[in-house]
Amino acid sequence: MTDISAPPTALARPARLRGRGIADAGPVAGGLAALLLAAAAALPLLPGISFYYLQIGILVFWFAMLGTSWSVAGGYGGMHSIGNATFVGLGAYTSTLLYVDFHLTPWLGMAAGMVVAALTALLIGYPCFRFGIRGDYFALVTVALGQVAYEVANGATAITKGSQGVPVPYAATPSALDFQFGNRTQFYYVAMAIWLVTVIVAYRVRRSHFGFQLLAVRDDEIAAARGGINAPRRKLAALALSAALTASAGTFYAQFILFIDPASVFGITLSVQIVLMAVLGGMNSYLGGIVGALILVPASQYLSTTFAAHPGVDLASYGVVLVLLTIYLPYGLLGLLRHAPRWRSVIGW
Amino acid sequence: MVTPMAAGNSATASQPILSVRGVAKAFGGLQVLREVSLDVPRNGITGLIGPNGSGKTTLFDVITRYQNCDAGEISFAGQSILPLLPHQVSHRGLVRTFQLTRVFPGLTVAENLLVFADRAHPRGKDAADTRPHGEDKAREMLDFVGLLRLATHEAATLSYGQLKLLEIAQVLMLDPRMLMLDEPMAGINPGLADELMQRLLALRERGLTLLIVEHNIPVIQRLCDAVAVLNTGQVMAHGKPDEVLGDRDVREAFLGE
Repeated sequence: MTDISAPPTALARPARLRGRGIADAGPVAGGLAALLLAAAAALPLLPGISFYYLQIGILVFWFAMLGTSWSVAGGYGGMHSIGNATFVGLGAYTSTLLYVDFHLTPWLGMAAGMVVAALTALLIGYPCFRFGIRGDYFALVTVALGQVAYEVANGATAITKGSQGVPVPYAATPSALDFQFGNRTQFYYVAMAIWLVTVIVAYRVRRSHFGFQLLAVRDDEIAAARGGINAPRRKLAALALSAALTASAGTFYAQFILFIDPASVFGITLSVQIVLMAVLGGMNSYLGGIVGALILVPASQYLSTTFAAHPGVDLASYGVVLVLLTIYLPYGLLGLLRHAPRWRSVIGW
Repeated sequence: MVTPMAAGNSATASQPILSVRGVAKAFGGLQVLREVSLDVPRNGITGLIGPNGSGKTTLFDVITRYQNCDAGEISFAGQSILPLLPHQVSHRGLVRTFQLTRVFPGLTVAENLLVFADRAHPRGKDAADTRPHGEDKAREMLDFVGLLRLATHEAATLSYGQLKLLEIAQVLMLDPRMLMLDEPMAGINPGLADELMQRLLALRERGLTLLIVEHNIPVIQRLCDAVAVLNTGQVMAHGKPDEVLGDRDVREAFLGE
């Protein structure tokens, strides 16, 4: 290669050119985050905490997993999918059917579901990225994918039992191998653990060179190609990873609720909720999912109990929130921090 | 590491680094390029001028594979690049800028360069290789274009001229063998333009080949070893700047005289 750089000169070093990620948080903010995590872990140990609140806690972690998984493709890679329920459903159905029909432990079923979801993502992503379908058009493709998946799950009754759904049989004695636990507290910790893994994966991806290139592809595919980046390949990898992470949350849902049907795991409502979590929290950040879920899950629980006599009010409120967000807070809550270099680095903007 | 000039034998050194043969391109009924042939010699600065709409940017797009051509052959460093995709052309060492600046607006100024840190002189086995790597190179490039103090700002907050400079810093980060610049001086203040010209001349001294689209004649005269004139999709003249710019037909077509 040609040497095109000037001789090394002594340059002022005004600041680190690249942030150090969470290491930039400093002792105070870092300590506070650790404290919050400890508090979340201690929640089930509170004397007299009701079933209801633990359930909400589990749902917060679940939606946070989904929001963060969405962000890996949607926030980092600019692939705004409105069909991620497809991957939730594939994860839930794969592990459940393998468990019901072949007595395969749902942990292996989870891995199988992740593979199935990733392959589906590749199948959809390849023609899209090969032929330059991006932005709004890609979002439309994912809506269609969601609808097709929903109809297939409904129609393929021989495999899925259709709209009747599939109950997950109780194990004679609840065991971790069967992904069944005696009480909600244990489920709470499992949810927290899976959420933590999702966040760590998303954070590591963001800090990696691959993640860096993915952001470049999101911003300008042509400029990325000029720099030698194979944009379609990066997008495919991100979409497959996002789908696999999403599918793991699907398995968790099936084992937690012990019943799945197409409406609950393949429905477009779920797809929209997932997007909302990420958008409200800040879709570019690996923490967007948890921030969004911490607000939206309790809010929706409150609305649905308060307006129990008027079903649909809670869902309609999602639409209102989405419209307000796109107008007043397009970068989400964490996006408010993006111009402060230190916080930008911490939240992985 | 040695430069291709030092490494190449005289036979390859005398061959053009970029050879365009009979390239044609039409958009629907509009024949933008008709049988364009152009040789760009190694280690020099070639200017590409022509009136608006003469096909300069389309030629850039075809060479860097962002557009397919209908006919013709393009080879870079002795090998055909027509079967390649844009990102593969980049890996061969042929890198371009865009007339309408393209950078990554959602990344910081520094990140716009750091994303290509792996391509800035990959650290070799040669311990004597003292050239700046990765972050040091990014710092140096940002310092050169005067954007170092904005390193941690989002690129979306830059002005047009600053974006232009950021793009130039970015392509230099890629360690190219040949650089194609589409109107590099447009929108840059005179002082900086002068500095940029000096830098481009220094790059040529170090073995870089440049192909520059530029409307500013003094810039062409100062920088270029050769000039090609594109008019209505054809190369109407090609030679030394003074000869080409003195040509009556060229002055009529390009300068409206």
